[in-house]
Amino acid sequence: MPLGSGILKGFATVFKVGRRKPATVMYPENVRDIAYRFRGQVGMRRDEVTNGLTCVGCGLCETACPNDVIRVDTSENSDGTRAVDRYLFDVGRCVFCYFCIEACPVDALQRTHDFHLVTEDRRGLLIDGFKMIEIYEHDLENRPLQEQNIGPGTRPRLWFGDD
Amino acid sequence: MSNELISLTVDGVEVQVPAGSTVLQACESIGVEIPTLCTDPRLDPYGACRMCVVEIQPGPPRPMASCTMQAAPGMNVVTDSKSIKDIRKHVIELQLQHHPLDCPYCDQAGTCELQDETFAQEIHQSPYETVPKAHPEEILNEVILINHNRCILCGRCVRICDEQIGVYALDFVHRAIGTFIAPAQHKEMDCERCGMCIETCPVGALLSRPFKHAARSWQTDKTASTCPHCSVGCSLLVESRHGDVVRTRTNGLEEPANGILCAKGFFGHSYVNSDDRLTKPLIRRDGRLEPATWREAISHVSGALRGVIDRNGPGAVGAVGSPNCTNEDNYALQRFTRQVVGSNNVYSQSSGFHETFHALASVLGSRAVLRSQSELLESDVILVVGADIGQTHNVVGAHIKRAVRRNGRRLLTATRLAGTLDQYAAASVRVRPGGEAALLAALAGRDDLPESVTGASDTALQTMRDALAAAGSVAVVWDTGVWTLGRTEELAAAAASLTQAFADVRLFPLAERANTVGTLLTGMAPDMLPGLRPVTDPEALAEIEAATGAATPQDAGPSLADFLAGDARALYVMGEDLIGSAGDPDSMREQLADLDLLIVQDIFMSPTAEVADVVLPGASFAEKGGHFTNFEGRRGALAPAIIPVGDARPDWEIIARLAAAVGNDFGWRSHEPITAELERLWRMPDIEGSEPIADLNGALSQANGSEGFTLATEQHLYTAGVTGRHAPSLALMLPDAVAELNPADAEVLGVADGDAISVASHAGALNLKSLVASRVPRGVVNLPDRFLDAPPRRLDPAGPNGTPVQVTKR
Ligand code: SF4
Ligand code: SF4
Ligand code: SF4
Ligand code: SF4
Ligand code: SF4
Ligand code: FES
Repeated sequence: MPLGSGILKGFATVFKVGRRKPATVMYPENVRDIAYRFRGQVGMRRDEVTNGLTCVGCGLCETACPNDVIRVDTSENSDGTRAVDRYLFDVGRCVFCYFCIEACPVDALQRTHDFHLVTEDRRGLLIDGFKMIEIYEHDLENRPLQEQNIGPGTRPRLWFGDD
Repeated sequence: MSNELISLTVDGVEVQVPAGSTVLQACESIGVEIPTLCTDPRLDPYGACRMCVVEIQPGPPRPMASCTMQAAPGMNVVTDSKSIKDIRKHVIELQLQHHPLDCPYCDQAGTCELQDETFAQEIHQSPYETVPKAHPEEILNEVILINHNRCILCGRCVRICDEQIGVYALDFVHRAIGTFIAPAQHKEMDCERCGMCIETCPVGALLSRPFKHAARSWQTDKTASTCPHCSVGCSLLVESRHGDVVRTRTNGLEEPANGILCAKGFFGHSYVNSDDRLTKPLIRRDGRLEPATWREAISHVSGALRGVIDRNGPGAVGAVGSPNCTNEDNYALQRFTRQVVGSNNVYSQSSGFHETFHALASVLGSRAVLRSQSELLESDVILVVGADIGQTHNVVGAHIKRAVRRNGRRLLTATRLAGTLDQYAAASVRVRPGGEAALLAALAGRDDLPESVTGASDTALQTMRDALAAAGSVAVVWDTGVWTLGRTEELAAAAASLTQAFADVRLFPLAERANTVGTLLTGMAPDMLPGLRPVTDPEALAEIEAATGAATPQDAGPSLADFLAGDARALYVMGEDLIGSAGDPDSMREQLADLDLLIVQDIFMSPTAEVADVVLPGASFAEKGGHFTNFEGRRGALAPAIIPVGDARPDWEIIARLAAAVGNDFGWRSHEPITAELERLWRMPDIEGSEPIADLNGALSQANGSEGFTLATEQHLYTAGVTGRHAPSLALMLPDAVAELNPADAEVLGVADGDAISVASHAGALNLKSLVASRVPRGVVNLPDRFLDAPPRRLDPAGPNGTPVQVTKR
């Protein structure tokens, strides 16, 4: 190989790549399109009747979670039904496996595209059910996208929304 | 069941089982699993659910319920044919036709037998039109509710209440599809709140109200432990989650509980997580108890103790152990006092058990006293005297009822109050409060005691004597609660005289609290060492020195009263409320306040803790390891189920830290080395009975025949002292300190249930609420013991039972 050809090859690559549109964007000012199967933070549906959590406190998500992310504390309402005293979700431990969503018998837990999870304090990663409702509702615009591939038979070609 | 073996074939495999076994047992013995819904090992076969069907050849040409079918020689049992599987699937499908399937918020989910079977039979869709029942949940009492929709009518609740508890509070009502479970005989539910119906219910129909929606069954940590509430010492499974004890339930079928619990065992655990628990050491500064760290508290206590010992000598320091604490805790305290402080001033309160034990042992020998429950239940005649054992030691009461019904034992009751035991008794008399010893003496042959003293007519006495004389063995059972105060000697003598009158008389003075016997055997007395040997016994002293590497003082200490009135300058009180349990609380408070140093180690604030210089937060039964010794002398193990609340620490650990702080490290970092050390010194007492039986001539205290009321003091099923008061579910059952009155007496006084009344004696008066109860005979007023604010002792410090009192409406 002639002396210097390596360097030329390098320059050629830089020249070629340098003219491409960058794959990265200036986050958080700009946000890239998200793969619609993207697994973001778990959200919670608002109960239309009570305006509170849809969760019935069955504890199945807590049991399904492999990482001890969820804690549901319950007690009895005066009418004998179950009250969810506290729904805690430790985002810092979640691996977004969505086992909890699958386990939920009342579809209280929902997928979202939210990945803006940064905080300056670990404790900020411990969120409750109402914060999860907020996350879910804030993410509602992405619902149609998410629903595209619910169910079997999705072709890999459709993995990215706009491409 | 005889020992004879028969052989049959199950799915082609030869099985040998004892004759009398059921086909179900035969299958289970070789690990062939048969699904069941209406079977519980505690109950007789019933055959309600038809889940357990098998084919039997040769035999009827239809599937048979294996749970009720007796195994016969040569039977060929098929458990897995297609038709059998179809039937099982059908049984569940039919059950689900009316079942709500609200598993996500059903408390039974996870331990539900119907849910498990639905999975096992792979049922995903019902072939029938499903019409779930939709009755509202019905509250049966403070602690039990029923969801009729989920009931599968297996009858386990009805049967356990009847067969095991002997109460029969529940029954089926109506017929066919309209059948449901309701209070038996349409009356108000006559229930002892043992919770066993809840526990046996295979589905989420009968539910515990305190546990409702508290946790899912699979999320709890399960720890085997022992009930802290009475001396039966039932084994428990403590279920906890995130540091809270959420429920307790039975643990196995072994003695002494034999698979059941009482209200206190099943519902009485909630004091553990009470908000009133002491969570920080408190040190008195400027007259006020203020929170401190352990480091401060330990150095404060060790410094102050040293000061007292330097100034006044070790004889000025004493320690009071507790029947609520474990053997290990008590052992640690006595070792600290004996070996670190250097005095034998070690005490414990037993409301009469220790005295009764010593009185009986000196006459009959100690082997006559600490006997096993099976000996009690195997006696031909069981005589219950004084307190209603069904209230004070409920589980023993239930076992007695069962022994009467199942095994043909004869029960004689001579209790002050009527109770459920009476229904099972061959003969019963209402003994007059204070006349218990006289009644025993009369049974033993004295004929000069009139009915006004014993409460028993001549004919009743004769019936009982005949029954006792005809028996090959007799068990005499009495609770040694506060009613025996001041009477232990005469009771013991009277009971001992029975042993001469009848064949094979076994005495069962039942200790009151969980570890009353343990305090006796760990040497919580100024004259007794661990293993119940005198402090002067050179052999025992040598053994202790070998086990601990330190010497023990050899001079017996004074009694607690003498000590407090004499040399006392410092007192260490563990798990006991000396003021609350004193006959004269004011003078006790004065004596304690007078000390230079009062250290109180407890789980709740108490009147005694309020005058203490240092208060140390101890751990409850669910937070530490160790052992309780039950009324038989059997040790039941505790294991920590949760981390102690706040800064509370196990009692032994506090004492070990204190010992280390004064330069005498016992080297204990867990309770196990203490258990091992105690094991070397532990022995069942072996005292020869050498003294003659005391002559009771004229010495019997006479039940009073006056016009007013006579006081009876016996523990109510739902009272459990301090811990019971702080357990919300128990407190619900009997919220306020009450005086129980006969309905007729209440009418004469113009008093209704719940009215404020006052009960006065020569020594004092108590203000209480009335509880009109037909179990109380006329002319008697019963003050259940162990209410904090109304100790009956205040009405007669020498012994309140049998004291004449006046009852007035306030
Ligand atoms: S699985 Fe759903 S209903 Fe159950 S506790 Fe979790 S969020 Fe609530
Ligand atoms: S009783 Fe069993 S099957 Fe029925 S709702 Fe409860 S857990 Fe589910
Ligand atoms: S709690 Fe006990 S006594 Fe009451 S109904 Fe149930 S089994 Fe019977
Ligand atoms: S309440 Fe429970 S135990 Fe009683 S019959 Fe119904 S399912 Fe059986
Ligand atoms: S009988 Fe005694 S030990 Fe047994 S559960 Fe009841 S209180 Fe506890
Ligand atoms: S288990 Fe045999 S019929 Fe229910």
